[in-house]
Amino acid sequence: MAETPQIQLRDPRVAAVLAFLVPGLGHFYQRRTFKGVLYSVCILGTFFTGMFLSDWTVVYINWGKKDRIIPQACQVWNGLAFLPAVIQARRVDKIADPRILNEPAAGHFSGKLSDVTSSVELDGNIAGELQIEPVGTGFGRGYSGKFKGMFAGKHPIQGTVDGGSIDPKIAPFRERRLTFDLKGTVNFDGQDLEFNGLASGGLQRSIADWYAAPLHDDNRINSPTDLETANNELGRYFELGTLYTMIAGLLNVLAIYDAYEGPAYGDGEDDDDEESDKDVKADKASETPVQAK
Amino acid sequence: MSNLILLSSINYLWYLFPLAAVVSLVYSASRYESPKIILLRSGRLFTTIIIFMALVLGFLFVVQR
Repeated sequence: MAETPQIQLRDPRVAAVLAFLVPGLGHFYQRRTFKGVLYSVCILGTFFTGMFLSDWTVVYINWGKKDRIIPQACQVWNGLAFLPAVIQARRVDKIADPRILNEPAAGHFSGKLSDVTSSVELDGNIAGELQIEPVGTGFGRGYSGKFKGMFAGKHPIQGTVDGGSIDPKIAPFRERRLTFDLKGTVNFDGQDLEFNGLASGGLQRSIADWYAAPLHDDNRINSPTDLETANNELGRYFELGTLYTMIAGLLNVLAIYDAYEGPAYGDGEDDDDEESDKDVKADKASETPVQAK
Repeated sequence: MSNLILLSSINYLWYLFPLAAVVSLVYSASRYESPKIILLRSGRLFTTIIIFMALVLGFLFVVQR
């Protein structure tokens, strides 16, 4: 490898660690701004494009499942962008039974309400704030709480909630699907009407609960499994996203090496092909007279 | 039918262009230090990759007919 005396690598080990954590950061540390910008834009751009294409589902760890080992071995080189996958996998491991509500949850809910019993026909969208908490023990475990929002976008609605199953807290989807009984009142033209209906929809997850979260592929928890759902909905974009994030990780290996050792062909002031071309011509010129003799 | 399948997947091929560009840029950046040479080399590598992939695609297109 050519020596690179003109390039100040500062502390190469620190630069390599920084380059691993955030692509390009090691080069910024070495004041190699052009390369820092190039690496960060190219590698982070590729990684997050892959994540976007796959609806943020392809970077995750499922302990004990070996089918994702090769993608993970490549993705891990994205450093901090991949690190949350480790944390999420550990968080999921600590949840004993993800099918039930283990702790209180609150947030924006949107979904559909189908009326079961009321004097008016209630069939439409509802959206609003939902607060639920776990109730019961053993076989009868579920949740209860309250909902307050709007029916069909214009009629205030509120009521009490009573439900059973709910999506796991940590999963790579923006919404946590659930179905529950909703009993309360809806206001039509200043008149409160009682109803008893069935609501189904999604409770918004925070980014801390969906980013790099494992795709559940255990059909005892959900059927279809989260992995099947992601594959069905995304099709080839799931593979495309996996490919992008893997390539981003592998490219960062080159960036880390560059931060640690400098460029492979030296300082790059001379184009090696032109030099080698000149060398070849010089060699031929020196050889020709010898052959002539 | 197989032609239709190939045509239906053409749009996915567009995703390979940015990927080839990124690979070219990062690979060249890891070889050289001068921005001018990096850009020059990556342009050359990008062209090579695209031509190679086009040849492979052309070969597969001919073979599958």
